Amino acid sequence: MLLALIGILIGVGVGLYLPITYSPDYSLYISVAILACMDSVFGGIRANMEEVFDARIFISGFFGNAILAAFLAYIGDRLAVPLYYAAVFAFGVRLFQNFAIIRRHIIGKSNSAD
Amino acid sequence: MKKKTNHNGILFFMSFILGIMLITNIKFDLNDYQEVSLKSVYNMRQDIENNKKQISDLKALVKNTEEEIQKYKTAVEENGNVSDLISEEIENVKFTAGLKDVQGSGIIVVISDSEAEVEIGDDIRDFLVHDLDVQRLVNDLKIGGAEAVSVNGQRVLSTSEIECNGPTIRINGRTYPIPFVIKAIGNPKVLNAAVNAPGTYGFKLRDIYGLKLETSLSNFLLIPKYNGDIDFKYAKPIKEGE
Repeated sequence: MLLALIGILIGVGVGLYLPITYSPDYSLYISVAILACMDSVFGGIRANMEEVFDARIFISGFFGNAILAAFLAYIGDRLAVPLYYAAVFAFGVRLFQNFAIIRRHIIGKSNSAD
Repeated sequence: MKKKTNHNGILFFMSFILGIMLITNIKFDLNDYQEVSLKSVYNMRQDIENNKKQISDLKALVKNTEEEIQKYKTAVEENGNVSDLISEEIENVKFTAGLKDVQGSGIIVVISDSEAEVEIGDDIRDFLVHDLDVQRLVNDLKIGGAEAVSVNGQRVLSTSEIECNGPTIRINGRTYPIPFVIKAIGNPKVLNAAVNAPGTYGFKLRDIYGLKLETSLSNFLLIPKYNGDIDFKYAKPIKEGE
């Protein structure tokens, strides 16, 4: 949990100085992909807490979800149907679910420690 | 226990990547995701094109200058002095400045006052050739690519005035009556079009105002050089490198 937060912070710090740019046309796809990655990381934290973490599932989910989400957004653009809503809903809901479970784990832990 | 640290490492690494992606997208949006109007895109493109043209012009200038330097160097090596080259250059400059007689194909435009009867209600000024008419014809010819222009035998230079002087006009300090003979050297067809094509000023003078405007093309025109002194009192040359 803490490690993931630190990782994100360091990533932000490094990303500030990395000269990565891309066409603004892709901004939406990247945003959706970021959402998918976020969901994967939260899922990873949760699995880590439940001690059912599997590195293969985590990594494949991280990249697979991101690519699928971006691809969905792209296809939606081509078809003039905002398909990326599907990704936003799916990952958004899962994000909150994961977060809820993580909260319960943390609070439950501190309760049992008392 | 070792497996656990491995998990944490992977989690950390993926979070790291997520952080980079996040900040990249945020940074990007702030800087570049702005509305751009078509006009500004067009202007920008125009700007870029202009700059590119300027750059290529400057490059050509550099190349020309280098060639010239090379020419002088070889002249020094071969003859020991550059007087031949310099006199050649002076001839060139004189030619460009209009201080040399020139010949070539071109057009002769003869313009004089209208001979139509003046009726009551007509403005007599519409029947006369004015300085501005001549000036505009000269300008039209220049637009048509005229390389040398003379009015009544006076070479038109950068300092030449075309001024109204009652029924006459003054050019290069000399006064001439009608008819005014404008000679221009250039592509005869283009020059002819610059004066005679419908919608041009010459066409308007002849077909609407009824002035006498005759043009004749010629394969051999002689335009004399400027005979006076050009005395610059206020303009001073800028020394290079200042």
